[in-house]
Amino acid sequence: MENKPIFTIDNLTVTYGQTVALENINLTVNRHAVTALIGPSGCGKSTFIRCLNRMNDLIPDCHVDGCICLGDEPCHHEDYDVISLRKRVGMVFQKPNPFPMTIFDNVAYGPRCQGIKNKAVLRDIVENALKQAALHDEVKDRLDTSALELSGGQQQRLCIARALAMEPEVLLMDEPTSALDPIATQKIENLISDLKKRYSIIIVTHSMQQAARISDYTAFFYMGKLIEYGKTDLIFSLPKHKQTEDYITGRFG
Amino acid sequence: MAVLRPYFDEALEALKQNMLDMFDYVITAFDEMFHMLESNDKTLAGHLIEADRRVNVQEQRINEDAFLIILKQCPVASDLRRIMTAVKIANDLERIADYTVNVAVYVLKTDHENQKYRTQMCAYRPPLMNMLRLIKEAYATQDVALAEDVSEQDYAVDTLYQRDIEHFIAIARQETDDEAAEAARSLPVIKHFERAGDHVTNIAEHIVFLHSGEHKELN
Repeated sequence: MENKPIFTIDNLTVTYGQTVALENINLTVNRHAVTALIGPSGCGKSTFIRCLNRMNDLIPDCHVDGCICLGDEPCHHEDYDVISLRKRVGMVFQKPNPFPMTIFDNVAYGPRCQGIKNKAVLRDIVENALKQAALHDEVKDRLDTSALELSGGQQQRLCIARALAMEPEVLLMDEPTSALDPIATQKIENLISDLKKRYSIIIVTHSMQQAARISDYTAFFYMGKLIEYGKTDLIFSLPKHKQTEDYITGRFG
Repeated sequence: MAVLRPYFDEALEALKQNMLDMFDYVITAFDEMFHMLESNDKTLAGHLIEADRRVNVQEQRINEDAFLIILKQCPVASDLRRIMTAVKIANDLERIADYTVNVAVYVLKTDHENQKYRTQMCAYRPPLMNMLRLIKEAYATQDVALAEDVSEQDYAVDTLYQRDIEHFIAIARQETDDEAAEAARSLPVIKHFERAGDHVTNIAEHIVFLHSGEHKELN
């Protein structure tokens, strides 16, 4: 199980009405690794990451073709319960989006929705999630204050804690540090490297240096196609495709 | 394709031009060194020692430029290889130039005209000058085939060196003490030439890496 890919994507094509956002994507995402998705705006990387926990279900004219397997189970179909999918595949967004409630309630929100009411159990879950998100020490004395009072970097780590409280297998991160200062960014990057021991992480980033620093695998998308996918060390030292080289060296014209 | 990083490209181009200048300094120094050996010109020896400073300064400039480009531009892939190979090749060139100083010192210290050994030494001139000129061309044009070709030519230098070693040992065994001492003093000179050939081979390997990202051992 450990060696099997967490996601297997076959012939994935996504269209919004007449527009083809992703075309015939084949990719396997490795377990307990950080996979970075890179490419210019509009290349399809966000569409791709949103397919993995079916965020695109909400878009009326979005059509998904092909197969996405989480482990061995096809999860892209309506037959697969989307709630249980999102329990297994958590997501963190570009801008920190804490709920307007206390720090504690933010993290306890998911478990409560799952029917967990026991206060001691909830306390353990919240504490554990905050510790994993490297936020516990900073907020342990004010868990009942509003999450909106936290700094941007703290809010983003709170969102990570909120996702971790559901004990997911995968963490999807869509540009999680683009709104943060360098110190907060560094904390999130360290956190990502720590978390990959327990979770499989897929991150969209516009920072080449960030992808090179924290990811084990990198996928380069361009105009809805997966141009190149491989070990990060190789992609950033000796990419096979000229388009990849042009993009990572900043010469994409 | 649109030039999206004009300042970066300018910096890389300047680095390359500094490298080509450094190649020229070393080629000139080697040419003058052989001329000095042929003519036993001690004035030229002094000039060679002085001229080596220019090479050292050039290497330092290349290192500093490379450091700043890495610092400011965060290069990856072929850009990073260009910078790393420049630093490594500059180091090999500096070592090659150092040999001209050692040979100049040898000429200054040699009292009498020892024509026999100087002729032997000058036999290294055609292969080494050829290798230096061609390796510069291979670097300038990123011509991997030419670089590999140049490294093959190092066999000729190695063959000369093997022959001369045997010859010097024979002298040390059979000739008078003075002759043996002179042979012993001359031996490091041809050793320098042999090492210079090895450094050219190193440069050829760096050019292969620059082009293909492969660490390939040549010769």
